[in-house]
Amino acid sequence: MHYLVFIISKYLSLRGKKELFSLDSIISITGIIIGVIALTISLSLFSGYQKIIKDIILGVNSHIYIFKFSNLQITQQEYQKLEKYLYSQQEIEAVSPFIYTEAMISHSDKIAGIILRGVYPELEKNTTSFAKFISQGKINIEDNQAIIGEKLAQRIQSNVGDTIKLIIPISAKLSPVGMIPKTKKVLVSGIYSSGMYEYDNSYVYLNMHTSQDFIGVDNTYTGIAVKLRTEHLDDTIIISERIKKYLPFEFRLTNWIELNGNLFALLTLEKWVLYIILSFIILVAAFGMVSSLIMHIVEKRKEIGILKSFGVANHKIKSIFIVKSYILGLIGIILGLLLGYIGSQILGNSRIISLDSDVYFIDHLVVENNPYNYMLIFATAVIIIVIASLIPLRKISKLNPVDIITNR
Amino acid sequence: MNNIICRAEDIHKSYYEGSNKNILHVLKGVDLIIKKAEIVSITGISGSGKSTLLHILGTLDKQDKGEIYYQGKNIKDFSEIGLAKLRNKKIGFVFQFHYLLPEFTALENVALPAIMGSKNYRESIEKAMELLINVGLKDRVSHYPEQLSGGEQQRVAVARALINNPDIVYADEPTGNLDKQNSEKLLELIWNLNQKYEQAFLYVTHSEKVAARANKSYHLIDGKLYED
Repeated sequence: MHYLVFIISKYLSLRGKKELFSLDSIISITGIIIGVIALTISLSLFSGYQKIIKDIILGVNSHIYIFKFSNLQITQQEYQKLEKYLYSQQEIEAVSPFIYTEAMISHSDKIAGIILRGVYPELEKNTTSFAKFISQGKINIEDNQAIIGEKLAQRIQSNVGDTIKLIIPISAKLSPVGMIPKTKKVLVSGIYSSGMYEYDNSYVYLNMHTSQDFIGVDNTYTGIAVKLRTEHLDDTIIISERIKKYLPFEFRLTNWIELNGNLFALLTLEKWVLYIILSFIILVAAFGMVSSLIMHIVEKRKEIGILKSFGVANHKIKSIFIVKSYILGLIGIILGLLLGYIGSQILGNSRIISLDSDVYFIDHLVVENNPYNYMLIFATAVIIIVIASLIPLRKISKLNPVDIITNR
Repeated sequence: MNNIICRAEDIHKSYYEGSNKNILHVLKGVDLIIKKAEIVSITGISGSGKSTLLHILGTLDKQDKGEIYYQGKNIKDFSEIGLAKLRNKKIGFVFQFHYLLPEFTALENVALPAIMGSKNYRESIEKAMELLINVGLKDRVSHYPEQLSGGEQQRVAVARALINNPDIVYADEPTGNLDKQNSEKLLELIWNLNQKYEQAFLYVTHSEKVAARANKSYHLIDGKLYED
């Protein structure tokens, strides 16, 4: 049996455990446990937030959008050619054309600015999670009907079955009193609720025919939405570049990374800042362990001296103390991860804390238990504890057995 | 010549006392030869430098002047690691206090210097068992230090000093902390072990009676050794 195995087994024995879990040991690992819990819960919640934001954004939006410069409409011939090309790309799952314009809505003396989207619902549901987000009514939109965002509906106090008025300042007629904006009355046939405040507060969906007719275009589209297969989401930029090369010069292209890049970069940055700050809790706790270890070494200086007098090498004497602090540290980390996991599950499932969805996009905490987070926290805590333990152990090399034996 | 274990020549050692830099010249040229299986005692008044000499001979402390040879090799030629190895293999110590490790049983305490010296675990434990039987603690092997009496603790310490089969055991007032009966037992033990394992013993004591039992007795007076 190796001497280290002997010492570890000693600490894990019944009597060793009494020594291992003395009051000061328990106090010093409590700090580690708290630090690891804080880090685990924070990272789980933050990852959850990041994931849900990504899900919502990628649910509401498609992955790649193709437009024409100067807001020119895409003609039927152009669309059919592009559609054919796009479907020939194996990474592309679905394509759908749409109308997109800013407009206004009015109902019962309320007026609001909106984004008007004209879609073929049966195509739109393939490029976004449109179908999933219809909370009331059918997916299919008949002529002169509209599906409106949930928050928008609340704002203008309208419900399914109400008739609302859409107004566009463009394509106006001239009259003696000035420009008369074009208006259209439509029936609210459904409510759209994506969870993303910005969209729920401004989107109005019409079917393609109604919207084309309303804005006065003849079977043309504002843009084309392209959905990638999920496994090719990370290749968005490469695929975008390839499509760009194919597109005629008057076309432009954007993708979800360009549209939301800042948000995702910010979320990632915040996550790392959080990680660094909370790692300091573990660092502080590790100093607690260090002081307890120093006390332990001071208490045991006689035993250290005697082992030295027997010619036991410094590193072997150190190993006795290392083993103790590593066992304690490991217990602290594992307990912390476990309690952190339980804590984040409770926070995520019980909805104890509610969020203001106007600000945070979502109305409750979401937990994502990413194994990489757990590995990262484990590695961080282990490294901190290993480095911190090295400091007091240097003291052992400096202890002179004669000083100890003669009580000098 | 070959049965000389340790030879000390002209050992000097001084201490600086306090801040006024008084030099305390404790050892003023000690010469000593210890032969195989010899029991040597050193007596002297408190503060005469007995323990200092023992620590220097045991390579725990360094002399200011003079040479120490172990089996013909000058210890000045040894590195720190070399000295640690020398202590681990050739030298054993017994101190006035037992300094046993509280987390370990008597058996483990005895075996520890061997296990930590990277010897085979099983052999170390077997040897420790044999030594504990020899010091009369057969029934106490799995007891922890706090469960042993002072005399028993000191006997465990003696067994520990012998675990690596040293050539010589240095004992600093081994009976200093024991009552008369236990002191007697311990000395008896040293003699028995000396017979059995042929290890040399050098013990320091302030008791003339204890000193007189040795093969050779020295007095440390004014920094020099005088044979009885």
